[in-house]
Amino acid sequence: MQQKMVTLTRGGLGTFFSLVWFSGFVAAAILLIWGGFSWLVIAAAVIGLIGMILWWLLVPDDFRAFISGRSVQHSTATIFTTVILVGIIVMGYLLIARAAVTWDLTISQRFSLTQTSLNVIQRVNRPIQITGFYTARAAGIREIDDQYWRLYETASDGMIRRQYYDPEEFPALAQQFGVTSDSEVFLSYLNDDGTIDYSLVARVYLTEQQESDMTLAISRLLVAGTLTVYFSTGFGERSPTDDTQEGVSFINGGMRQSGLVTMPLDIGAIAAQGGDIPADASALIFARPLRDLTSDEVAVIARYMERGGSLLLLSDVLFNQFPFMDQNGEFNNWLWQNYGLRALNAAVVDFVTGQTTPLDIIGAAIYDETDFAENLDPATNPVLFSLARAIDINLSIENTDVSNGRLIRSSEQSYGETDLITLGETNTYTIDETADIPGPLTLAAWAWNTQNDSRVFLIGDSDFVTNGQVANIMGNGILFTNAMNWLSHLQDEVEFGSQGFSTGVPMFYTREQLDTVSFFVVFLIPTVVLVTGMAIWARRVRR
Amino acid sequence: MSTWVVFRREVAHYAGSPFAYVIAFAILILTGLLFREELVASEASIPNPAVIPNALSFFMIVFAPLLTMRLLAEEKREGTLELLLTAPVPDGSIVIGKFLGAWFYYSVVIGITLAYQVALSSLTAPDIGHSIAAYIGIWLYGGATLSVGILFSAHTENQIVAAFLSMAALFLLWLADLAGQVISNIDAARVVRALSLQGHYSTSFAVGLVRMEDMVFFLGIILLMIYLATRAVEANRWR
Repeated sequence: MQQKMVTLTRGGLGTFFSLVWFSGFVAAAILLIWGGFSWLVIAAAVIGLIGMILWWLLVPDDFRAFISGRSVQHSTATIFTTVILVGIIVMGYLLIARAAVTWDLTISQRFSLTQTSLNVIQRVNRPIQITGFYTARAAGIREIDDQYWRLYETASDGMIRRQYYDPEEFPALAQQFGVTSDSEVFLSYLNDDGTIDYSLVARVYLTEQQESDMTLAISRLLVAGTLTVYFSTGFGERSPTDDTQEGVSFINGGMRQSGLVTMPLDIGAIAAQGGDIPADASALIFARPLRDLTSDEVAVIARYMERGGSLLLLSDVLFNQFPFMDQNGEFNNWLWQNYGLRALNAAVVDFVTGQTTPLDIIGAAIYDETDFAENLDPATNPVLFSLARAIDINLSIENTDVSNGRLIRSSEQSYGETDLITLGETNTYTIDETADIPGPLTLAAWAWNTQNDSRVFLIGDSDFVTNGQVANIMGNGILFTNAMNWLSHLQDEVEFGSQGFSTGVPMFYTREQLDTVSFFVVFLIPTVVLVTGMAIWARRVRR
Repeated sequence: MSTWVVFRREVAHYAGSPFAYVIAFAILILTGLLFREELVASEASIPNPAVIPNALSFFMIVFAPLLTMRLLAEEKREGTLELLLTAPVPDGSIVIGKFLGAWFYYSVVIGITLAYQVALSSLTAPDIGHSIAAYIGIWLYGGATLSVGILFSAHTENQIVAAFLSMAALFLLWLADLAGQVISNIDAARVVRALSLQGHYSTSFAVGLVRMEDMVFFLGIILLMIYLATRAVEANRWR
C-alpha cells in the first residue's frame, strides 16, 4: 500500500491559522449572543487570538497585506473587515445592554423604582425568580415589561432574577405554572440549587402599571404562607373545592395565588370538643351555612374574635328552619350587640337595579369612605347579588371601640320582602307596607373593634362569590378581594402607595389659542421655509 | 480638516438648493398637521410630547432616501467623484463629510419642530424630559436612516435606484419591529427585532427613556454604513 506524503509548508500553516483566528472570533461572538458571557466565549476568543498571532508569525507579509495592504480594497477583505466591525459593534452593544445603563428623563420618573419598591426589595431574603411567558407575537410587550423587571434585578443585587419562556415552546412548564394566556408573569422562590420552588408560585397581575403590579406581587410572595384563611365546614356551606357553578373554588384558588393559605375548619367539632379556632387563623369565612350556630359554637366564635379574629359572613335568604343568622338567633344577636350588625329576615326587592327579576339586583350605591370601596363603581364595576338578604346596622353602637359602616346599598325604590314563606313557595312578592321594610337597604357592611383589632364583614348574599358569578362579573371579584385583603390583614403587609404616573398636566385651551397655534405650525413655519427656498431658486434663475 | 471642507461644501449645497427647502416644507407641513391633530385629540387630557418624533420615525423611511440619494450617486453620474478622488482627500473624509452635511440639515429641520414644543408649553406643562428623550432618539434614528441612504447612494450612479433601494431597506428595518407576528420562534424574532430601527426607539426614547444600548445601536449602524460606503467609494479606485 502506497503511503501519501503530506507536506506542511509555512504558507499552508499560515492559511490554516488565518482560518482559526477568524473562526475563533466568530464563534466567540455567536456564543456571546446566544449564551451570554461565559468561559466558552473566552476560550473561543483566546483560540482566535492565538490563531491570529501564529498567522502573523508564520506569514507576516500576508498578515500585513490583509491589514493594510492593497488587498483590503478587494471584496473578500472588505467582508472580513466588515465582519470584524460588526463583531466589535455587537460585542459593545451586548456588554452595554448587560450593564443596563439608562436615564429616565420623565418628570414622574416612570421608569425608576419608587422608594416603596426599593423597601420591598430590601425585604427579600431568599432568591426570587421572575418567570415570564411570552410568545414571539408578544416580543414587543416582553421588551416593555423587561425594562421594569430588570430594574428589580439590578436593585436586588442578584436576589431577584428574570427568566423568559415561550409557552408554545415549553408547554409542560407553562402548564406547571398555570399559564392560561400570552404575556403572563409569575414569581417564585428558588431552591439552593437554583431550581424553582413550586410550592409558592405567585401570579403577577399585570396592568399598565408594571412597577406597582410587580411590587405588590413580591409583597404577596414575601407574606405567602404566613396568613391562613379558614373556610367553615359542617353546616352545609358552599365548598371551596367545588368547581361547579355553585361552588367557590375560584375564590379559593385566587386567595392561594395571592399567597394566602386556605384550610377547612369544622366549628361544630371544635365546639363539641371545647376547643378553639386555631391561633394562626387570619380570617374565617362562612360561605352560606344552612343552619344557625348553637350557643357553644357562638362561644367559640366569640373567643376567636376577642383574640382579634376576622369574620367574613356570607348570609343568604334561606327558607329552612333555623337558618344561619336567623334574625332572632343567638349568633345574630351576639353580632348586633358586639358589632352593631345583623342580618334581617328579609329579601331585597329592587325595581330599579333588578336584572332578570327584581330579586337579581345590582348594588345601587357605594359608600366610598373606606378602602373596601376601591375600584367598586355601580357604573363601571357593578356588584351583582342574587336574592340578597337585607342587613341592619347600628351606627351608634354603645361600644366606642367599635366603628362600623355601610359599603353597598340598594336603590331608593327597593324594599325588604319579609314574607319569606310565600317567596320560597311561590317565588312571588307583594309590598306589604305594614310588615315589609322600606328601602334603601344595606347589602354589605363592615365593623371593626379597634381595641382587639377584630373585624367583621357581613354581606347579604353568597351567590356573588360562586364560580358562576365571580369569574364573569368583575365587581363581585373586587368586592370579595377588597374584603379579604382587609380581613386577613394582607392589605397591611402589601400596601403599596401607587406611584403617580401622570406624565403632564391636562391641556385646556380656547378656540383662539388653538387657531393661533395652528396658524404658526401649519401655515407660518412651513411657508417661511418654502418662500426662502423659492427666493433662492429665483435668484439662481436670474443668475 | 478635509472632512470639514467636504462638510461645509455639503451644508452650502443644502442651503442653496431649493429642493432641500421643498423637502423641509413637506416635513414641516406634515408634522404641523399632525401636531394640530394631537392638540385637538388631547383636549382636556395629557398630550403626548413625543408625537412629532414618533411621526418622524416613520416619515424618515421616505425622507432619508430623498435627502441622501444624490450625495454620491450624483457625483458618480456627473463624473465629479473621480475628480474628488484625485484630490488629496481621504475616501473616508468624503463619505463622512457628506453624511455629516446631511445629518446637519436633518438636525436643522427637526430643530425647527422644537417650536411645536414651545407652542405646547404655552397651552400646558408638557413632560419636557420625555420630549428631550424622544428628540435625542429621533436625532440618532435619523442619523442611522441617513447613513443607510448614503450607503446605497455610494453603490449606484442612478439617484432613483439609490432612493428606491434605501426606501426598501429602511422599510424592512422598520417592519422588522413586527418580526414576532411572522416568526414563531421567539429567540429568532427577538434577534430580528433587535436589528430593527423602530425596536430601539419605540420602547425607549419614545416613552422618555434613554438607553445607552440603543444609542450604541444607532451609532453602530451609522459607523457600519459609513464604513461600507467608504469601501464602496474606495472600490472606484481599483475597479
